[in-house]
Amino acid sequence: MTFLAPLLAALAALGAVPVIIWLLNRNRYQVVRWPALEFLLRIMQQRKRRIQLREIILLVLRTLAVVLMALALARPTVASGGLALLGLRGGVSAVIVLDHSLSMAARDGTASRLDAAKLRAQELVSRLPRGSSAALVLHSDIAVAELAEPSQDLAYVAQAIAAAPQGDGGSSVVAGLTQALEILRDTPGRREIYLVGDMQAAGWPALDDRAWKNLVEELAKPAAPALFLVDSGSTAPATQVQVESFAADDDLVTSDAPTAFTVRLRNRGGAPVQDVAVELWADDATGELRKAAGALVARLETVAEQRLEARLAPGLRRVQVRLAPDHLPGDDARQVVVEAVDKVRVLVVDGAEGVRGGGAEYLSAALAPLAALASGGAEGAPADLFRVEVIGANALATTDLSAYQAVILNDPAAPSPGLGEALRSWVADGRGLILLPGARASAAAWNAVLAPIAPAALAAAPRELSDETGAKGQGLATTGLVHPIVSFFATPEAQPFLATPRFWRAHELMPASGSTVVLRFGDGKPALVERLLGRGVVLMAAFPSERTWSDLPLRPAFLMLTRRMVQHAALGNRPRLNVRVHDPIQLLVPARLAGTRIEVSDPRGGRSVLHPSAAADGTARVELAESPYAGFYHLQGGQRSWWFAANPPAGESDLAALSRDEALARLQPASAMWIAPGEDATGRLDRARAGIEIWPFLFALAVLCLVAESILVVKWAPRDA
Amino acid sequence: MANAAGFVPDPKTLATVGRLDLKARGLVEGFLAGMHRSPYLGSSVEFAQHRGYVAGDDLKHLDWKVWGKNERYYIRQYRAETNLVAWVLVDCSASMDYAGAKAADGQSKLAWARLAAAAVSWMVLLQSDAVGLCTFAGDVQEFVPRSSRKDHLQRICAALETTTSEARTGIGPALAKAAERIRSRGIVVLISDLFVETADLVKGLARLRHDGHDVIVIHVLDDDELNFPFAGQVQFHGLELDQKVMLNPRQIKATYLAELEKHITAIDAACRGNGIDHILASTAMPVDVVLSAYFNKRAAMSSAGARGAI
Repeated sequence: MTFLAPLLAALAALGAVPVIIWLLNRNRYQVVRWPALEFLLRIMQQRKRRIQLREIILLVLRTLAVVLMALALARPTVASGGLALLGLRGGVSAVIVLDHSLSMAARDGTASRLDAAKLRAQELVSRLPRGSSAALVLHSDIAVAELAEPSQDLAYVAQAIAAAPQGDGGSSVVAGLTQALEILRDTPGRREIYLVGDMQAAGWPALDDRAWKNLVEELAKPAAPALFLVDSGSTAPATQVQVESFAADDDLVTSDAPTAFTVRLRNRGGAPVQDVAVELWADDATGELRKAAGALVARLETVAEQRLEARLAPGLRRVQVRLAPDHLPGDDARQVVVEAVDKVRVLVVDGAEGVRGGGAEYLSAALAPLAALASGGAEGAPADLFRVEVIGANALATTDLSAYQAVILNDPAAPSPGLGEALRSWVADGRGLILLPGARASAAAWNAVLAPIAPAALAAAPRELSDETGAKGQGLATTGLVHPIVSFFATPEAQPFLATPRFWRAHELMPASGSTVVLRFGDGKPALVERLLGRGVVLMAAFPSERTWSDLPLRPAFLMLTRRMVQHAALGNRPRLNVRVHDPIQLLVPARLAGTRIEVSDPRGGRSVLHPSAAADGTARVELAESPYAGFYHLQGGQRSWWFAANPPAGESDLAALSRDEALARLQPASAMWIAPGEDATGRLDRARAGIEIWPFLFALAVLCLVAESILVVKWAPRDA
Repeated sequence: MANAAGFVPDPKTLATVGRLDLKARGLVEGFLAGMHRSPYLGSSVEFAQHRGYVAGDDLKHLDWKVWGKNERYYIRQYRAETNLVAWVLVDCSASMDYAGAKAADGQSKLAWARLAAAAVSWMVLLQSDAVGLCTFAGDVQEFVPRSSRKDHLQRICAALETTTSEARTGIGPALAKAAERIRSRGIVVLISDLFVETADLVKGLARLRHDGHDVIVIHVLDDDELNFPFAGQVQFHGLELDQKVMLNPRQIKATYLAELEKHITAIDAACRGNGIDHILASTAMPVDVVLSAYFNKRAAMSSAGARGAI
């Protein structure tokens, strides 16, 4: 119980007045020498106890009336803890929402922000009223309920707080508070949420964010838990350089040439930084991370980009960029995993078999130019990334496809029945198929035979293309170039390459369900469609590799587009190798690995085991539900291994914090109590827990005492004879 | 009437009381003829009745006129006028020493009793009857033999004046001792607050009745005793008991008054049962008012002839 006017509670001492008066009256008496004392003695013998009892009852009622009146004046309030006096549940149910995002790793001296926040949270827990319980939610950009049920063992809660790990994720106040509300949803009594952290502005969503609006509405309800914003300290370090982004320039990496990586540095500190050393580390063929390149940024004002190159060995390769550690080490490194493609065996099935200057020649020249120059044959020289073989359409049925990573069907007239099913299993095992229908392609036959694998169906007849002015021919769209095959053309420098080719005729593609349009014509019709099939990829273009339908084979874009299509197809349905911290890691493995052990090692040495589950498409699926830390994740099983990289969100390095007023304004119309760093908030917390004013109840009790006293006085009063 | 220097009956009171004729109500044996009739029928000047002759009767009382008319022997009987002997018994126990705020002239019960005793004595002497006095507490204190001399009042007053209150051991033995010293039958006027055991009192009164006395009990109480008007915290010290009790009088007033009423009723019933007049008097009322009221009532009852006039 607390008092809103505590000084007036001192008036309760007036409760002693009736007792004092009673005692004084006992000592102030009249002496009478009385004849009939026997009468009085006899009466007193009979009535002494009753009289004394009545005196005590009246005295108690008077004293109570005075005390209750004084307490009512002091405006007492009772929280759920106070309600324990009434036999109801005492204490409060609290949820500690502890921010353990990357920004909490910022150090000012020896202790990190998380260390300070833990101490603050433990202090709050220790000062919860008797009978309280507490739960613990760790939040970054996701919320994890470390203690999902409020525990009355507050020492255990304090231990859980102490054991909270430093995370590498971003920050989302919405996630933490939503989780806390969920924990307290059906909890009776007084409920409190303590958001303990650095109040990083980046963690607070925009005011018009729908999730934030819903959360604030929930917090603004009268019965919502009380919210306390506990700023554990957020002094910004003087110097802080961050690796804001790091990626290979091209999504498709080969081992035959150095791979370029671009590092974007951002200075989050207040002053320019001199001589920022940037190191590129990559693992070699033995799997060891070694320094592959380095650069020095002489002066970093705000943002700087540095390009570094490294030749990578074939296969999945880890590449990391590192800066010298500063006050926030978590953003001084960033990593990626790339799959460097080595020699790719490509089979070109030529619909115009034997025709000189046919599409197969263009394809071979584009994929193996060195071999074409040297011998003019299909056998690629060792320097060529792709080894191309060309066969006629009729030979396809008898060719063993298992030796090829990619097959290109360049305008065969009518695929043999059963080809679709045969190719389906071949593709699903992790290979790439590229369909280039042309003039010879019969829409009916193609649609009938290749339906199980084709990303799109063909319209009955090709369409003639013209531009918006009605002139013959149409180009490719240069917008929406996000697919790895075409992302290379997204830069202003590369866009003209894609915009130059003209197409006079093309098949109209009708994408199948689940397919992705990779590239479009200028009129928006699909030009290239992708379908993922098990672990493999099927690409289908609306045009063949022929000069009769377009001038593409004569353009540089043909070389780029063809190589990228084949490279992409040869890699199959690749997992997403680079994720953000807390994103899931998913992997498709051969169906034979279903149920086997896949061992997972996380960046901090944690180990776990996953068991691939068989999927309907003939593959097996492995999923690590969450990637809690930044760094490399290693999955190993079935004599194979995979690497994945997880990085924190770049915005997490922005350590700017919300001020008290800014935070409270964002919470409007909900309200919260701000507890500043180092503030002893015990008194304010007690007042905040004040709960319901009970002075009317006390006043009524006082009146009741007075009424009872009056009634009893009248009832027990001597009747005058 | 009474003052601290000495006890002298208030002449006004005495005059008021003196105008009343004290008439004996029952059979009183006396030596002097007067205005009071004897309780015994015998030879006298006032014919009362005839009765049949029995052997042994004095022939001088034979009514020859009746014999002459009826030839039957009847003895003439006469109502004889006798002298009244009145004994005044005054309770001098410590409880009689109480004087309440409303007492007339602030007198205590003992002072009131002294005055009443003197008044009654004077009234008796005015009628040329004899009066004696006995004061008692635990035992008989003063005993003044009967006398009809007018100056006998001086002696009675002197005895009353020298009487002091003292602790009582019991009214029964005191009344018994007084009865032993009262030889001649007459009227016994007992003036007391009667804060005694009822059984003890009844025993004493019965002894007096047994001796043939006509007993009048003047039960004198202070107005405080009758109404218990105290307020606030009061510590009562016993006048006769060496005890004290602290209480709030208002809390027990009703009970006290009920107890007192019960006590008075018991005494009244005991007196009635023994043919004794019980007069409840308050010291707040002047002595003359009380005595006048009583004797007027007694005279009226005497005129009605229930038991013969007084």
